[in-house]
Amino acid sequence: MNGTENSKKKYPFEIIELAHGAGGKLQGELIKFITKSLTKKKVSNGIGVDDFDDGATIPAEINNGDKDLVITADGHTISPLFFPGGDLGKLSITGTVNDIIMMGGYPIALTSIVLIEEGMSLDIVDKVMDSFNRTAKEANIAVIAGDTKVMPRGSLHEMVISTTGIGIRPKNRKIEDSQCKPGAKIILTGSIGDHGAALLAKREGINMETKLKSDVALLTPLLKFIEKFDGIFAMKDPTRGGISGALNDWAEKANVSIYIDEEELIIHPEVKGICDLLGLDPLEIANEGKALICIKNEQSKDALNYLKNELDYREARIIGQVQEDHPGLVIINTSLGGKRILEMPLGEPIPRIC
Amino acid sequence: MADNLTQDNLTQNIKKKRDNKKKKNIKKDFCKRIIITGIVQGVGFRPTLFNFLRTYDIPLSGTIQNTGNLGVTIDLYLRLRKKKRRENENDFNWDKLVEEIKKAVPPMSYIEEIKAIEIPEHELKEYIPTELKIIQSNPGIGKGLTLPPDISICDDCVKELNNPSMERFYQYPFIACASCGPRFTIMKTLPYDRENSTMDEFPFCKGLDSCEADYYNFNNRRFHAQTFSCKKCGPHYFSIDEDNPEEAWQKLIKALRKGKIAAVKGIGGVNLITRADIDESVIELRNRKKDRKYKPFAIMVPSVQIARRYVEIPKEHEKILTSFRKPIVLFRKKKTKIQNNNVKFRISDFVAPSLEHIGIILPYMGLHYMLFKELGEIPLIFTSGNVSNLPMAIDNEKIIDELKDLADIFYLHNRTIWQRCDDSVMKIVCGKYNPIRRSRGFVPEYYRLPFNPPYSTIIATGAELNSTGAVSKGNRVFPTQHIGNVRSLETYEFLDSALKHLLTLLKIKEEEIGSIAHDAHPAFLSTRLANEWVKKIENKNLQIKREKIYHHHAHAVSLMVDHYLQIESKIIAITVDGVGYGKDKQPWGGEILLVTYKDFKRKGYLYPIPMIGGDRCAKYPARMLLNTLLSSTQIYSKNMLLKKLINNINFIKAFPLAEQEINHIIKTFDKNKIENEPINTKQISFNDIKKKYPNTSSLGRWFDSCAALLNICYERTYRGEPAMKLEGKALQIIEKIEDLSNKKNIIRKSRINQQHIDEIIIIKKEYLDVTSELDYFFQPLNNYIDRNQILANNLLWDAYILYFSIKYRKNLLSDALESEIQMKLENNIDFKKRYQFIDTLIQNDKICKNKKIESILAYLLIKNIARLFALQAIHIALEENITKIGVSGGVAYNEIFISIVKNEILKNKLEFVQHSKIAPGDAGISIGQIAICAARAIDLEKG
Repeated sequence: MNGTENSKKKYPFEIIELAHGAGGKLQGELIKFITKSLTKKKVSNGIGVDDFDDGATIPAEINNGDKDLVITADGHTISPLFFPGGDLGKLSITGTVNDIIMMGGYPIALTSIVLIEEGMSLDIVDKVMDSFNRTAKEANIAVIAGDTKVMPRGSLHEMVISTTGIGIRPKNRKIEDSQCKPGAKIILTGSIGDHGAALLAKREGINMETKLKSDVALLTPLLKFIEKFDGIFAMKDPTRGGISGALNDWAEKANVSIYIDEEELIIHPEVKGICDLLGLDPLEIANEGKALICIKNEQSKDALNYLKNELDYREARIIGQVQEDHPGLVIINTSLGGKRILEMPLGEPIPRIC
Repeated sequence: MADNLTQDNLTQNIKKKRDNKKKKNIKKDFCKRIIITGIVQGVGFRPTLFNFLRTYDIPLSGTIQNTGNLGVTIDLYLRLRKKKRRENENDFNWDKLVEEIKKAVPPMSYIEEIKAIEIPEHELKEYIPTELKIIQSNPGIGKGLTLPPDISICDDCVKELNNPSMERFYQYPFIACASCGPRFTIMKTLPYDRENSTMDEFPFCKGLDSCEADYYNFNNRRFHAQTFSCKKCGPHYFSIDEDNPEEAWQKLIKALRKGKIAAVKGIGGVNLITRADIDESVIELRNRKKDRKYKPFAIMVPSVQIARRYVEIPKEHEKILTSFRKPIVLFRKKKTKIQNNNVKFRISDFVAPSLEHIGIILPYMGLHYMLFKELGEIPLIFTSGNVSNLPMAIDNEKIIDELKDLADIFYLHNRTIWQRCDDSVMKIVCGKYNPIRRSRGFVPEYYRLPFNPPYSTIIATGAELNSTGAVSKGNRVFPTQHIGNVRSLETYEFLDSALKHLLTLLKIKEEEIGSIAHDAHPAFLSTRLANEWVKKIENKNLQIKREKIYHHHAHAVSLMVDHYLQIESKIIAITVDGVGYGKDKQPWGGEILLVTYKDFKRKGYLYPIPMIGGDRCAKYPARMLLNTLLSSTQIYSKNMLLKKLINNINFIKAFPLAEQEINHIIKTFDKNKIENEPINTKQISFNDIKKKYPNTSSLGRWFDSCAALLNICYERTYRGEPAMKLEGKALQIIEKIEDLSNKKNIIRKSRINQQHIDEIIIIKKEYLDVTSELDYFFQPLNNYIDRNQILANNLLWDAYILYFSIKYRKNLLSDALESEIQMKLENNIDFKKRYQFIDTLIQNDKICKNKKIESILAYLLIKNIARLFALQAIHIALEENITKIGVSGGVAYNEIFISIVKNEILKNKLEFVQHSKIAPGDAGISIGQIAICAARAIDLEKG
């Protein structure tokens, strides 16, 4: 063997593309690659980085030792900074808070790092941070530490906010991706694709003359829901990769199959229009204020009523159920009849019609 | 203790000696074992052999036996008196007998190997048997598969079906015999015996005139036939709402006569049947099938003679239609005038709208003949009874459940279909049979690799649309039946189970699988299936390799297998289709590859076009057209020149989101364009449009664009629709040209006829002259070549300028002159030439008022792109010192394309290789995948 071959490391891919950050299969590959040589990935028996959940837990001695710490980490970047329904500031808080809630935790505090590109006007920074602060107040979460850096022009695009979220959750509450159980029902708290579509419309300059806006919102009302129903197996906010990515994640981690009824999915016509125009699948684009809930069959009807009537998630639906027949697969019962296999999004669509 | 002879040992030894002595009575030359492999079970092989041997000149005795996958084994003894034996013993010519057996076998059988060996000592009979017998099968293990495909009803059975004196079989829809009937679809496993088929539920009736009697009567056609039955004991049809069978039958006939839609269960599945001559019936069927807006239906007619009323069936291609395989064969429609004059029943225009071909199928089971007995000459739509994109239902309950909204009436039977098998579809391209779908009547026959792979078995999961899988055993490749579009869970499971069934039939164990091959496309479900198989096998601690195969490499290699090219062969392959995942992760489909079994190099390709909106461009061809025109770089291409097209009301309607969609595409291009684009470049430069969107080099997509340009097709409702309609349009011109040469021939042969001369002059003026005059605009063709790329986008742009200038009788290029680049253009010689050309053209009434202008342009576009591919391929072949050039991929079904490429290649004294057995489309991919995998494994072995 000669020297060059020897020094050539075997990589799963050579160049990092945008698709490696799009929440699909390729992102999974990237994360697995960069974490593979980590030796300590969790604190004692808590959830760690290799669980690839929304966040981590640290077994702690809070409140007589019956609670764990929940920790999440998130880098927020979006273009454009302001979009119908939200902005980078709001998104940073909702993203952090929602991740904690999706693990069944109560958000208590966060730290944030704000990276700013040289040349930004203070006016814009102010608007973003004002929105950030207002949303933090709304979520009743403390911002307890932070850092700011200014980066030379061109080294990053406008602004990036990076957060660490801290929450607590009762030790006996196990809401985790891997807990999805055959027989359980899947509830989705509303329509799909609104955030992704609104953002893309703005970015591509498509004026559909509609009121389409992002669904970016705090999921704090769900804390009550979590307290009320003890049959929740898993929760997930389907952000990047859309509900397709989120459900595939579940199916894979819990080694179950998930059946979805296409007719139960609510896709607003504006979202469908944008997706048609751009050739995208609404099931694969991001949501920022919705939750997927995997819950015991017996509690699913009550849970749905509660979500609809008490918490005002009017468009909540039972969209499917967990089965054991095809582990790892997400399957959609289509309106035409037939079962389509919903693949984990790749990160970018590759044409396949021949 | 060897010398310690006890009493027991002694007696045993004496016995043994006596036995040996006895056996010596039978001299070796007096008996032989004949082993025959190939398709020798289920074709009436044993009964035919029995009768042949029974009546042989020299009396023979012994046994005839089905031996599993090994084939048929015959142990034969010469039955002669002692004295005669002595005289004959050296005379009997076993080789001659073998030769004669070869000639005596039934027509459906296929002998791969036949050999006479000695009967092993321990199996030798003590005495010469007194009679010849067919004995119980045993599950021998051989390398082949002895099971034949389903065999269409034979002539003798048709006669009996219509013979009232044959009571038990008269009008019995399941009539079959030793040499015909379903095989593959009803066999659960091998050997080929009744108890291994789904006929095991129907024991023979007994008595004097019974199936059992027929079975044991060596004078009967059903002697030792495994899967036949009669009215008394066999399966029967029933209706879900009528108990009386006669009433049920009459109801079905009445409904069909009225033009209703019937779901009729048959051999390999269920068919939807309705009248093909009534527009309303055909339209109703389309409406109910939802996803079936325009996709052509096949029609069933009672005979070739009647088929000839509707289509042109050349004498030499009649056989494929009438063969025991009974596929659907596509033939050219007869010209409408002839059709209407002499024919009682027409074929509705909605059967195969805007296409020049119709698929014809002849009856292949008793029931079909019975239908025509009642319905006379009414042509019937005959289509697979499935919900669009799902495998057809084969289980009665499922049939009713899935087709309840599609069929008015159900006519089902109580025989289980073990393996689903759709009707096969063939197209004749330049004289060669190209399977589009290779299924009933073909499966489970195999193809042979021209070399021996080191793995005993390789599995391939195929592509995605219209796909098959395949299993190899040694150098034999067994493709599955037609699976369909592997997009749903149902087809995914069908592919899985069809592969498993092949493993069962071939008696292959999991540990024998050396490798699993799959398409390189990461999103294909067939790729997922391959991964799952690998995981499953690895979990059992077995070694297995997974091989990712590029789509177009598989196409090209399937062509090499088709031609049985040796392992070291190299060819230049033009692989042209809709899409296949390429090495650069882009959707390929217009490729010129330098191919070996193991590897390939991309030597040429169509200039890649960004697909803004991805697959939506495939669904709506106008979108692809716009992307293509915006990517073109004729020096005077500017958005404003596109105005005529964009403001064209038809064109706007071609986009579901109308102007919004058009504007989005144009804006995306504008946003990404490099400022001050240099004017003399052959290629356009973009900032990052190439990175942001998939870029396709697909010829299929380019044909789509052509179809949209010429207003031929704006929505793809089935696979290949725009391209097929484009070909249909172009064929109309070819028809004229063919007509012309026919008339010239007539004149040459007979006396000069003024009417013919007049017609020739008209055809020549109207079509030939116009065609060659317009073609001038595209010459010389090397303007459309830039190193290894074919600038098909620019070719299309020129066609656009030409077409719209003629259409609006206004020189479109004058618009370019008004633009800011006027100065540069005026000094450009090429531009001036073209400008003047169009100026003269639009003065010409003969051209501008020509009603066939779309046909002419369709023809010119196909012709010129075919020539461009041929020229590039020839250039590469000469450079690489390669003599063979072939075409594979879905476009290979396009007869115009193939004949032009072929001509060009032969003109250059190179060899043209064309598909003739393996499907050039994606149904052939699995075979290519296995061959590549096998060839690579040989290399590994060598180290």
